[in-house]
Amino acid sequence: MASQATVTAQPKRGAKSLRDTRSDRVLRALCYLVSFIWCGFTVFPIYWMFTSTFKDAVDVNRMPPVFFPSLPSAYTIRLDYSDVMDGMDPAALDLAIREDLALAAWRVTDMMPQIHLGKINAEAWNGDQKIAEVSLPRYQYNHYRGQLWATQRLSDNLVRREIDRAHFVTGLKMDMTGGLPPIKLGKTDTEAVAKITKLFGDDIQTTGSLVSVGEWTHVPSLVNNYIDAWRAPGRRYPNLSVANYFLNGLTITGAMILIHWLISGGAGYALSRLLNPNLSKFMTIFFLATMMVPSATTLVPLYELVGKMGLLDTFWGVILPGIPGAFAIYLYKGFFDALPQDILDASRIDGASEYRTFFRIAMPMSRNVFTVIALLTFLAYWNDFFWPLLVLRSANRWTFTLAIYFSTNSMKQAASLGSAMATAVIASMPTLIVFSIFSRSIQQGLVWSGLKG
Amino acid sequence: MRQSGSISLGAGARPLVSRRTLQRAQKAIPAVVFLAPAVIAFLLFKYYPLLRGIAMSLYRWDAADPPGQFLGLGNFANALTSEHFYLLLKNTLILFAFGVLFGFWVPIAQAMVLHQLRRGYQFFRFLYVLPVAVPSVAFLMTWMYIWHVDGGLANGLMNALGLPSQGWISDPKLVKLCLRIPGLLGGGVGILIYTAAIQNISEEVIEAAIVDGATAWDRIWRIILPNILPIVNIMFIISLTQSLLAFEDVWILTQGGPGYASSTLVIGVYQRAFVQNQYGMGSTWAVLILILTLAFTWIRLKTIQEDRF
Repeated sequence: MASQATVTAQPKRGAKSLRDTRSDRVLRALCYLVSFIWCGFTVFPIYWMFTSTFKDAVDVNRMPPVFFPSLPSAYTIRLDYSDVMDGMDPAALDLAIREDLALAAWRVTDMMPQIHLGKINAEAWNGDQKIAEVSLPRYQYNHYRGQLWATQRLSDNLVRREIDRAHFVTGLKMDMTGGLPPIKLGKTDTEAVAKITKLFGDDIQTTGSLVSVGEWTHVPSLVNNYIDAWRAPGRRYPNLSVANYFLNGLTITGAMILIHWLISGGAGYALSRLLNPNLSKFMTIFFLATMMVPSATTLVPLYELVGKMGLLDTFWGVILPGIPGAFAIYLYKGFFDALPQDILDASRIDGASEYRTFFRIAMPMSRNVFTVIALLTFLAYWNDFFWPLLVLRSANRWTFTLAIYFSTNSMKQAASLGSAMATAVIASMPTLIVFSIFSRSIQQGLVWSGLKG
Repeated sequence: MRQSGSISLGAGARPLVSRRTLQRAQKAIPAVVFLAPAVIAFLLFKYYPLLRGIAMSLYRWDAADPPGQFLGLGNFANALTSEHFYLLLKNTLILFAFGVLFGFWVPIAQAMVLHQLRRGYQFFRFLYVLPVAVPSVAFLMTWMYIWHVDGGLANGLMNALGLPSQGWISDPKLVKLCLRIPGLLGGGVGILIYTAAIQNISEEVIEAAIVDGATAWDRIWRIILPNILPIVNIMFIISLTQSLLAFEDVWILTQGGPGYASSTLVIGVYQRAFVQNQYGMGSTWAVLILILTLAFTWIRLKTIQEDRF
């Protein structure tokens, strides 16, 4: 029977049946297992980077570490003024409400680091009529806290002293006729609610009396860190946002791609088609020899040179020293070598100039290599760190890598850890998207460049 | 008008420049146009700094007072007798050794495991390479958070196992280990190179072995591994050369600290040139790095020749 089985298997070219011995199947199952686990490990830092951006100040430093960020909550605090309203003149009442609401929003956020606080809403009521409301999302608190008050801990008096600026970000709405719609109250029996209620008895002294505190899940607050990261540069450098880093990065990478297409592409074409063999060999060595010189060796004189040319702290200071691309030239030469000479000759016989032949015939025929060069150049210069660090000093010329690097200084504080990670994720987005779309071309290019070292 | 292609002094005289020369010159123009920008850029930004750097290494050359006193090989003698240079060289080599221990073999193993799969090959390989797409600064920042003394994942795991918290990258004894342990998780260009190398082994060789009754283990140890060994050799030398130039990851995570516990040779160059403003001494270190790199490159070229790669 066994021999019969092999005979019947023979016409099917045998490969499958030959491979599927028992040891093979065991091995393959094992390999699937190992691949799953190891892939998990490899991708884990990326997962960790992503999830950390959704952690609030509590989760980010918690022990044991939090693998799935908790959902943030919005808290609604209701104060009532029906008892005190009668004897007060309208101006004093107005001020009292404004002060109370500022205290409720700012001081509760300030004193409550141990709850998942996404947003605080505070309302002032007159019996069953709502007369005022404010809301303070956590990202607004992060952004303005340091600008409004330089002290470590807020006190009632500090908030009262800055009452106008405190309401600059809270969106204060007042309507003494009571026409405001109420904000959802949510659960009133949670641990966090009890904590907040206790604060109003001990630390925060308000004119109105606390009626109720409610907690409800507020999913949009998950992106608090991203909003904070986007605006974080503006805290230290006015008029600067993450959009500037995007533009700076795009300017530099765009210029580099164009330069490598034209200059390295042209040089590769000349080496491949326009020079006689001996000269071509010599020039190829002239270009490729520079690959053996580590960038650290030319660092100091190059810095001095760029300084003398007056290019420090300009994009040109980053772009120009990047023009010599030995690997790009090598790659282009290899591709143009493989083009059929007949077609190029035909173009010349038709009277086309060398330039026309290059741009109209050679370039379109080697679209692959131009794509690969663009992608590799993009990855390399978007991620470039050391040279931009030396050259670009002003914050408004920083690329993303520099922005992330300088934001790591703030990582020591738990509150800004999440937003620092969010900056990292925002910076990774362009490369991750490009990589996912052009995965095949990039992988091909990386194999070529990897073996060159 | 027969002389249109040549320049002559007058009728009957020999052309000053022959027509052929002129034609050749005309033909050379496109070549010059295509090559000139690249050649100028290479001369200006590669060759000039290289020679200038070597020149700098022979002078005292403070940033404020160039070029200063001519020292000949004095800077080199100074560097090669200073303990600091050898400390940083030692750090660099230890980092390389940890890199081999934790990182170098990982993509080889991953590629070999991957080779056994039928479905999902592309998918797994994509995941393995994905970290390449994340800017290294962002990636390193994630690791900074993982090694964070309070609240970091590493200490979280230690506590979960009932072990005491560690200082990780702020501990001089552990910092080098911490810099290279991420390699264990994989992620890099290596996996692409090794999978390509394994795919280049002809199916027939493997199938012949199967017909001869080779088990799966035999195939891995007797066929696949020997066949990709030349690539492994090359990658080894490349990683040695690159580890001599380690800067970015170390600088972002630890800035060479604590103390000098993770300072590498390139960090030494940076500190000499840009912190202490001693361009001469910085260049000397840079030239020493160049010499070491060239030595390794020479070994690599020899290896390649022997293996006919």
